[in-house]
Amino acid sequence: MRIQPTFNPVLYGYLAAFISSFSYGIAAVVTKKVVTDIAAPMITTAYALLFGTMIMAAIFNRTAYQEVKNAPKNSLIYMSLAGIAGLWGAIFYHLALLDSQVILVTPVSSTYPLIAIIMTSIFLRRLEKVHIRTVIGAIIVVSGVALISLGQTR
Amino acid sequence: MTGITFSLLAGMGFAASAVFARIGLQNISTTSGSLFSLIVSTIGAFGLALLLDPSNILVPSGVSLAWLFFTGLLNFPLGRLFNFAGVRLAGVSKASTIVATSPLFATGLAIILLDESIDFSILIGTFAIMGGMILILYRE
Repeated sequence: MRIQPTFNPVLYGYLAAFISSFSYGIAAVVTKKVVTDIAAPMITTAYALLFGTMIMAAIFNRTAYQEVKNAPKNSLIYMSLAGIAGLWGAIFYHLALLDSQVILVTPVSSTYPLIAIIMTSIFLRRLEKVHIRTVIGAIIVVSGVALISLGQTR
Repeated sequence: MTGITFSLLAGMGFAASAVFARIGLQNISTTSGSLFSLIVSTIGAFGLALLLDPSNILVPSGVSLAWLFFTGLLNFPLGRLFNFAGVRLAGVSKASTIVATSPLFATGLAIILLDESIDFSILIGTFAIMGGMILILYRE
């Protein structure tokens, strides 16, 4: 009997999200150092994005160029909006890190899953069902984040 | 209070980014889509920097550039690419919630590197985050 390897995309999705989470955790501490001692938040945002883009382009430029060229316009519009929204987030995140402690900023800015869930339930009903369990889990996570924030503000 | 307001505004931007990416990534790969969105972000960031802080746009020295490079590496290729991959494979609500546990790592690093101590509310908050995570992941 042969055992077929199975690819569970959801589990890989969780793994990718955890790696992202870990990177953002380290990045918060490093970014606090940079915006405090090295460069203004707007300059930090611009250069961090530039280096990020250069690294990504160095790795993926061949496939990306063709794919972007052939991609439907709608996808590119939505990815542009994702980029603009991400820029908005990065600028305010860097401003917040300049103003406050890492341990306060990171939990508060991480409440975004609740906003994402609300947006998902409004705009993405066709793409994705939001289960009650996910909503309850998100509320508990955000409650934990709020507790951490309150502990820091006392 | 300003820091909290800025943090919430940042959260709104990250949420909108995740939702737009979820729609946009239906017809384009995560890597190409991430790169495209990064280019848009970079152009926007330099445009704003030129408008708001033109005198400092060429400031970075060697050491500064190394720090900015490290910041960029952690935040964008690693953070954003894997964030989008998670959104595509696991869905926006689950992936975004997992990514939201980054304060656990930040808190841990703050304790280790900045010598901060953990109090009761942080401990309970940490357990709440872990409990919420288990609730979301348990079904799989």
